[in-house]
Amino acid sequence: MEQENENGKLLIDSVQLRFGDNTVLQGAYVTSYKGRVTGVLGRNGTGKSCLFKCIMGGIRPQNKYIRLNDEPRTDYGHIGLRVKYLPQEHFIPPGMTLPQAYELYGVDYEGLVRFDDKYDSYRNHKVKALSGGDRRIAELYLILNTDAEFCILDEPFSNIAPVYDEKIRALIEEQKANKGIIITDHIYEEILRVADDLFLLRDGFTYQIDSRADLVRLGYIFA
Amino acid sequence: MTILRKIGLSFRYGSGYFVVAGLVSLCAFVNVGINSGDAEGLSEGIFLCKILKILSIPIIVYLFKKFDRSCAIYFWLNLGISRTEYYVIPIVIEYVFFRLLIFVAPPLFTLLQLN
Repeated sequence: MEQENENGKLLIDSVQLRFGDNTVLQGAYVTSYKGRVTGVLGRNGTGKSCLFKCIMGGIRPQNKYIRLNDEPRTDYGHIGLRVKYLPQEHFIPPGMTLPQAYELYGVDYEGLVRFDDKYDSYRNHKVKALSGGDRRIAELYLILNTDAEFCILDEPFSNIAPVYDEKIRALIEEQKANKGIIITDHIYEEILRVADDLFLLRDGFTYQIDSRADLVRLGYIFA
Repeated sequence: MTILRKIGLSFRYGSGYFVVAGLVSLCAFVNVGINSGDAEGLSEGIFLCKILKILSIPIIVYLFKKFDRSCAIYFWLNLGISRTEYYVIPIVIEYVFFRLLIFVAPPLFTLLQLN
């Protein structure tokens, strides 16, 4: 599989995560490159979201190894400065307005208005007053348009009307020129469309996927 | 990101903690102030308040974590605040506020009694 140079590489390796007796991840790894979209697939409960939360520091795993651009020391604690994460659930605080959130992230709100002009009327609305889908699009646009080196998108196509799918795919294609993007979703056809590299999480381990046949062989989809 | 910016942001995400923990600090302030006339009672009162304050911190933090099931923490982690800083900064700021209240309570209440 074609890969970019080491400048613009996010490596996550040896992630081990247990909750009591339940082992979620036991040696998971993902590599992402600037200019490429990395898809992570897996059935429910295989630890995709946990893996992303481990990267961001929201969950403390028993072990993890993260390295950015092969730098000798990567500051795990403040990784949010360089890697932005879109969680599965809404993450903009409900009492905030969208322009306030965009200002904190240094993203131009007018860009969102150009993306969809209905957001022009949401300027003074608190986030909690918006519908789930509108919130989701605003959050996705925010994460993709930051100046972060990498973006992690956890189920970006969920709860979004089909009419936006094409626009979101175009946005991902546009933004991958500036950053590396890691993406997961259960609408796996969308992932297959946008991803340049694919991984599958199963039984706590990561498998590199080169073809659709690999997904069938590993029991992710039926033949 | 500078520490001052992190402190500024902590006032936004930690407002709930500041309100609840601040109420505990105000109770301690009143308790110390009322006992300020009696030297022995004052030192015992301050000691008791410090113990209760330190015990209350993990309880309040636990309750906030328990009832806050949203992913809002990632909004702040994305800005470059670490998970440890996310929890520790509001606790430290509020504890400094508590110590300040305990420090000013005896002279303030003595002044009020004199008037």
